[in-house]
Amino acid sequence: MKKVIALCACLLGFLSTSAIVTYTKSNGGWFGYKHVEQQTWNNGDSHLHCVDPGWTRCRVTSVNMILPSGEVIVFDENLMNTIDAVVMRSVTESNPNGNFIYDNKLFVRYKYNVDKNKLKVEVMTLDEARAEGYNV
Amino acid sequence: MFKTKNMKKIILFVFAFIAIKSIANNGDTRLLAAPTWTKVVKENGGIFGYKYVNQDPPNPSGNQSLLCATPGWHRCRFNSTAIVVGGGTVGLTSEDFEAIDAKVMSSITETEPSGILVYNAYTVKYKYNVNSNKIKYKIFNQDEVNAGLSNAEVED
Repeated sequence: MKKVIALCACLLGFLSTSAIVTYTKSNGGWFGYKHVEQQTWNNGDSHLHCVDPGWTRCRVTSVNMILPSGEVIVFDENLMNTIDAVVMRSVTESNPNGNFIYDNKLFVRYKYNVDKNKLKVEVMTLDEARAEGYNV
Repeated sequence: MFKTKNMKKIILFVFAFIAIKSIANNGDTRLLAAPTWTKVVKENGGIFGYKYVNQDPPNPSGNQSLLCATPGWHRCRFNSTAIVVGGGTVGLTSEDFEAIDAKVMSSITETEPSGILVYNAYTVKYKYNVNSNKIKYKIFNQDEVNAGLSNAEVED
């Protein structure tokens, strides 16, 4: 029993360490990207890079995000598309950077550089946003 | 006698010229202009639009083009509500152009990046170069197709 509890604690500890999901779309083509790569670190953070014109979709491999309540949010393609749609509507010439809270659970920060044609989006829990100084 | 004959010829020529120009100004410019194409080029656009959007008005031969390039904030579209296609004939509206553009975009695939499609009475020839991220298409009306103008490949 102790072993099971210890294993669960370790597993939860591993899962809840962190999970900031970042995706970057840079110099993309009309129909997709040439390079689509996702890096995931031991602490759970994950970064999806989509670069240069090509034919591959900018799709994320699912990442688990653990909320302080213990709820697990699966950051998958559907969630990425939903958040991305909000980002796409939010970016304007006068406001290329910004942030918003999604579904009262996730903090989304975005930045677009028109000269590099590079869009960077970071998705994190509200706790992680607070740790970065945001009053959310 | 010689002078009178020449005078008559000159007067006839002037009248003919005025008559043809008058007809042309009343709408049928095909008398003066050979039917040609409308060209659209979208090159290296950004996620949110283009820096440069340049529309060349129809020239005397009927050509017109829309060139959009470099990441920016402008939409790639014609200014006018009615788009001139071929020899000055008003045929396409901006809604038609958007429909053609959408049709071109949905037709391009990795295995078939170039091709031809038909939209109402117009024939559209398109080509996409993935390396330069450049889409180019030409819109021909039926007269232009009949004249063989749509037979040539869309150049890079």
